[in-house]
Amino acid sequence: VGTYTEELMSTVTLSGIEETFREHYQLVYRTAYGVTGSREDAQDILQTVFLRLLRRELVPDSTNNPRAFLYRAAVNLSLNTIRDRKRYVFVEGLEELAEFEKIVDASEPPRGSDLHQRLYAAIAELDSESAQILILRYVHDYTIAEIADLLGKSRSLIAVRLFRSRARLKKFLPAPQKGKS
Amino acid sequence: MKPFETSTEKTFRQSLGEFKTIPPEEMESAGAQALKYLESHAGDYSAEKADAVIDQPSRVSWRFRWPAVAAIAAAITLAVFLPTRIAQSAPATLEDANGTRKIQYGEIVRPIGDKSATLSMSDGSRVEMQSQSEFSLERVEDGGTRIRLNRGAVTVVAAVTGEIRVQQGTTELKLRAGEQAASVPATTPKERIAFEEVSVRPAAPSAPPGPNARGGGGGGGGGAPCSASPPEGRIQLDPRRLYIRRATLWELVAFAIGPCGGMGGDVVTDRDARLTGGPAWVNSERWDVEALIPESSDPLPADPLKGYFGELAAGRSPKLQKMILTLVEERFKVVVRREMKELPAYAVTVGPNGTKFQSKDWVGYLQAVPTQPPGWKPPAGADPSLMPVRSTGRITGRIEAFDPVDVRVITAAMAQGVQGSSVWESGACLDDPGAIAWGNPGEFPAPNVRTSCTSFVFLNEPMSEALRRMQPYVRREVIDRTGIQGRVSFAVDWVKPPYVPGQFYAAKSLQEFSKALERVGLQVKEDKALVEYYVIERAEKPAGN
Repeated sequence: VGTYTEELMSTVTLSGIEETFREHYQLVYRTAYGVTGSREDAQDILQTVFLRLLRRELVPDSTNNPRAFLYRAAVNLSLNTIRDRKRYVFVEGLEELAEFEKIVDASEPPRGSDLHQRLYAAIAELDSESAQILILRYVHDYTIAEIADLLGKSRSLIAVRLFRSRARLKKFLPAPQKGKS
Repeated sequence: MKPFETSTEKTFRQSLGEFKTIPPEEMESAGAQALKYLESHAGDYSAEKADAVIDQPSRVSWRFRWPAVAAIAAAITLAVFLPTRIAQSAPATLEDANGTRKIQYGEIVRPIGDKSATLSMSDGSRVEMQSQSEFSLERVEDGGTRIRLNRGAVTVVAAVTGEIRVQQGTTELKLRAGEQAASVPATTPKERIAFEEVSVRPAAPSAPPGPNARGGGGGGGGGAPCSASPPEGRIQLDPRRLYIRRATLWELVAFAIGPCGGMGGDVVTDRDARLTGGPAWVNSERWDVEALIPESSDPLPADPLKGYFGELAAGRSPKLQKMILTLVEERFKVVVRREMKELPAYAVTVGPNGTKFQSKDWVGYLQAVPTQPPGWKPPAGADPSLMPVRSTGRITGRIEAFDPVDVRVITAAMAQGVQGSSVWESGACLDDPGAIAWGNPGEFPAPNVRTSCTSFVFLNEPMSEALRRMQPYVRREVIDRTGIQGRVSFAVDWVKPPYVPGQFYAAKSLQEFSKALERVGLQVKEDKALVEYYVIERAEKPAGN
């Protein structure tokens, strides 16, 4: 999932993380929901992030920025969820798993427009930092300065990464289809 | 803002932000539910941290890598021929868990202990013996010494002035001082690396063949695995799934053994000629292959810039390649023989006045400034957001900050170089301040870059890796004889003829390549190098899934 900070490392008890949870859970949930388009997935991700925090399954780093860490964890888990969905596309071709595929699809709620899913599938193939920047920009409406501040990077670097990520995503998009918005 | 940006930005805002609005009550409910969940699991809390497992395959120069297929094709009988003068002294000394002892000719030696043992020759050359190996020393006709390996694996590190020959089966490598070669033991069941699920089906006959497809006998292949871009829709690869549509067996084997990337990417030699043999259907019949990659195998690279497929085609996804190898062995009963051929190469050494580039901390780059000559228009068919860039023709020694909106090409190139690939394959000549380059933003190396030079900027690269990256551009193997250890940063380029769309340009002469490297104090000489070739000895059509 990533790393977490020394500050969080010192608060890994339930009572210790409660304050952190209350301060940042909206960021995590909003990120997860924005990416996955699924309330169930977002709920799972929210719980998983803080459960792993509780269990100390993460390794501390020196950035000491809990908000950035939790956001990163939320993005990574959300993108993992997106990637896992690809499995279902794959197993569709295997006869022995075809029935399973139907069951899975039937139980899944709608996850947004086709374009939304395609874009996030493409984002899932970017590096984590580029994905973080895109999501901050378009899900959280952060400015470049705010993104730079949260991630601890320079504004110019954020701008470059944002530009390049957009250019890369553009290649993943299919030509506009009739009847699609 | 330009129309391109406006429409793209709008699309992103609408699509990526489709679920950004969350009612406050839903948010509160989610928080309360999560907190309740955490409370219920607080008792499960364990202070033990999960161990992070980092699997980073070591980068080994292809020249001395013994691929798995070689070990599979024949039982290990590896011989290391040492120069005559070594044989005249005590043959060798073995150091293992029992200490150090001298080894005599003819003695069957099995190093003791779980760790590897070291066989030291009198001149300092070393042979690292894997635990549970078995070997003996033999005199050979020319007076040298042969190390016959009956079991296990070895790594030979040459330290002699002359050369050491390492032979495995019918294949022989020549090692010079400082070079090393490692054998690979025969595949054992516990080393089997395979896909979780595999489906192989005959492809529908009605679909047209790929653009590079060949029919006929066993002399060549489709070429698609080595292409920088796969045929549209034929190959899909993500962290859990590999799907190759209409693949010939030749293509699958090419992926598995990695001839595409083994020579540094593609064009050093005729890549199709490097994998031959097999019945005619190997190149004509096509298969749809779907495979599920095990979740824990982590076979794909961390650098998404290079792309999953690019890494596979470049032979830098060793686990995934082994999975494909297992697939063709088990489903197609493929047996591949490896051969070596000696071909012309370039050897790079340090010139008499030493190198002229900086230490590993140097982070220089071409400085470039935006420019838009009066009347300049993007080429026909090009992206309208193209921006010409004028090189100032000098290295600034630091990374310049540019507004990415105004200078998108150069900043994208910079970001690419700074963050990892460390090579910029297009650009203005270092000595040509007037050169103008253009390219589609986000496409690097840009397929349609029109420049006066092929330029490389290496940032903190090992010298051997930097030279390896130039191989496709000089169409020869480039041997690193500089002796430079650690990482270096430098830039070189050579002049291109006028740009021709779609034409790949490479330095065509020793003089051209030499002139480029003179800038940084390196010399180039013609030499020879062993190149890997593969022959499909056996293949069977697969039974049903």
